[in-house]
Amino acid sequence: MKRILLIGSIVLELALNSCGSLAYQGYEMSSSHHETAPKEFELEVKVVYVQELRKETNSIKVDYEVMNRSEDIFLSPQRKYNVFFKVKTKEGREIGHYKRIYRKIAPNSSIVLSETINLSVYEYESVEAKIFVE
Amino acid sequence: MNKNCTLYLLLLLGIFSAVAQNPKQRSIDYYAWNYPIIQATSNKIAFSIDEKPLTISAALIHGNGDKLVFLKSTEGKITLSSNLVTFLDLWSYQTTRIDEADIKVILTPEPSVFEISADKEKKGGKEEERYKGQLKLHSGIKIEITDAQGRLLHEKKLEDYNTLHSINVFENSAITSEKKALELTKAHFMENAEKYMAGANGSVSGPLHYKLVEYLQDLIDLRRKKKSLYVYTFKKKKGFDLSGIQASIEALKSLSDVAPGRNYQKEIEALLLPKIDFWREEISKYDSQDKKQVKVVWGLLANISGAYHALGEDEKALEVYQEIEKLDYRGSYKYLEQLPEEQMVKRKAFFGTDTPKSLDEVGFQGTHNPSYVHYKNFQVGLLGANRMEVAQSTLETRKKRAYLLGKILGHYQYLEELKRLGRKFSERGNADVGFEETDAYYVEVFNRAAKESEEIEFLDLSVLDEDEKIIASKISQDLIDFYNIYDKEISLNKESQDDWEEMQKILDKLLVVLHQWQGGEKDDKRALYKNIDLLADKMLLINNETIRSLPLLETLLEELSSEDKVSYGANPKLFKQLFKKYQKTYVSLFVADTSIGQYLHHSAHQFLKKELKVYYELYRADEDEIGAKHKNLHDDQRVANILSIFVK
Repeated sequence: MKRILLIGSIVLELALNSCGSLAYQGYEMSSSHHETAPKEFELEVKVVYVQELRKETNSIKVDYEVMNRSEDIFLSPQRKYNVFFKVKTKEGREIGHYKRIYRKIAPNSSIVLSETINLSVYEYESVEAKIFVE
Repeated sequence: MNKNCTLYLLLLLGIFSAVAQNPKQRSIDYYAWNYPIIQATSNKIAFSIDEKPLTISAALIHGNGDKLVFLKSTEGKITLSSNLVTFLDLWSYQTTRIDEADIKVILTPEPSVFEISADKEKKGGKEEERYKGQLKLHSGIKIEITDAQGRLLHEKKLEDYNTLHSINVFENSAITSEKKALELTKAHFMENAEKYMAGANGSVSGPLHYKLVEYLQDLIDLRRKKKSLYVYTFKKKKGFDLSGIQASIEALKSLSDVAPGRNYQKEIEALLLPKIDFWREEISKYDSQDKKQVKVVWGLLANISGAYHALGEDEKALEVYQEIEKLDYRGSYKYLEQLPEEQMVKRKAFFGTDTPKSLDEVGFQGTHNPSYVHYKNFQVGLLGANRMEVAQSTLETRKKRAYLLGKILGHYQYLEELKRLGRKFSERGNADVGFEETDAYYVEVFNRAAKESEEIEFLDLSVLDEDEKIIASKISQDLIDFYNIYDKEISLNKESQDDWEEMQKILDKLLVVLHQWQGGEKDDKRALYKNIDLLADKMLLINNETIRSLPLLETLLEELSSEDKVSYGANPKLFKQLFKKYQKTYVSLFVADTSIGQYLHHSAHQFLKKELKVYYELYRADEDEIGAKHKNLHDDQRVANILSIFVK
């Protein structure tokens, strides 16, 4: 099941990527070519709900809300927008995890996403999320 | 002619047999107490070594004492290795950090001078003057001993002249003028000036180092030091059986085998006291008035006196000496009186009284850590000096950071290297299938390495800055994803056990095909490399390819030497390739111009000696003997220890 999801997401990623690159090529060919700064989006992330899962390894399922505070629709931006999760464990360890945002988000609205983070043998205590842009 | 030879031989034999009648001296090592001149109230000591640049010059020294400097460099770098403290191995002091010590030893090397002089030699009966040109390196070191407040307790300059070259022949004949001798020696020096000047730099060693160790031990340390006990033995003497005395001396040889320790005094008493009684008994058998027998009596008394001195009972040694003085034999052997007297003077000065107290045999020997040696004025930019003066918590954090970076780099580089090798193996890949035909053992190794690399996802990021945390997470995830695809690709030729595995394989195949279709491999790899470089930049004081390959060296060492990792028998080709990579990495890290040694202060080298020795030994190993002779060398902390010096 997990595998199919993975492939699904890869297909999606490919589709998005190729669209993006086509659009970009079109722009390159335009006669009125001039440099513009990549569009900046103001995104915010908030952890909504955390569910602990115990199977072969410990993991958590984090539901998080991503808000688009900009006036424009968040759609295939030139820079990569990611959510960085910092999970603190009961052992005092900090485990990091990141997830790139592929979804489109309307201006001044938000979506709720879900992410499973593997914690190996460590026990969950708290999680923080923030946006980082590449 | 033959007759003459025989005569000479007989004469020689006669001389030898005559000498054989006299007592023969033998020396046996033992350890005697050294009573120091300086006594401190506390036992915490520190060493500070000044590394300021010094002048190194070359000068002509004329017979009339004139000195003419003809070459001068102000960039001399003379220092002392931090393992001085292990050589000193003080018993009564504990080596500590400089700010915690109550007594400080400050050592400053003196400027060195190459001195060229001409000595007049007289040989044979002729009044002809001959000269010998000499090139000597005059080096020195200043010792200052202060208390915690910096008050000077003692000061001394030690010097040494080391003869490097001498010339006494020119064009097959003797040199007859001072001028010529000086000229020739100077010419020799100038020819090799670069070599000589370079040789004057570096750590103090040889006789000067030896003098320094001896001087400091004598000056400050209450300890036992190696001394010689002189005993006398006899060969045959007409009418007397001396074999018993000879055997008693032979048996004493074991005295030098007794190692200093808690029971040293008892052990040497057990050896020497019975001998003293035995020699005393033997004396009664000889007539001290007899010209021949007095030699035996003298020898036995000298033995007894020496033995008492060795036991530290110098009063008794002197009593016996009074008996020796009365004998009409070898009156010039004053050392029998001098040694006990000197020791008594030192002892009295130390205890402040004539009655000695018993001393504790065991102190701080074997506990001295060279990392405590403080260096000042060392070359700017060198890492790892005075590391013990950094707070323990900082060192711990640096080590944790180094551990984390080492893990990430180690897995990254090892997978990269395996993948590179994979390409080599698959040169004859099957084009029809579209996937590389790969070696089954190689696939097994890669599968395992990929699985093991997953640990980097769970590394403790708490020792990193916020920025570093994000980059490290990103690298970990991207790295695993990146090699996961390749792992699947090379695993496609594996036999499936059941339908489920077969279906998984089909999915894997789809994934691999999709990935290849997307064609982003190069970009992904570039992005991964960029992030690794970025993380290394943030975390390391010196960031370059060489230093970043240190974790790979350890990973390769682990793979090659661990019994459950890569095996030579299973696939010699792969093993050889990995070993070759190990050797290449070793060379770039420690041998070539790129060596990380250039960034380290020599005291850091000292600190890392043990770690680096392991790497060296595997580097020198024969590849087919690694499994037998170099088993399980991996140490999870080794990279962290080394890398921590380079970590911010």
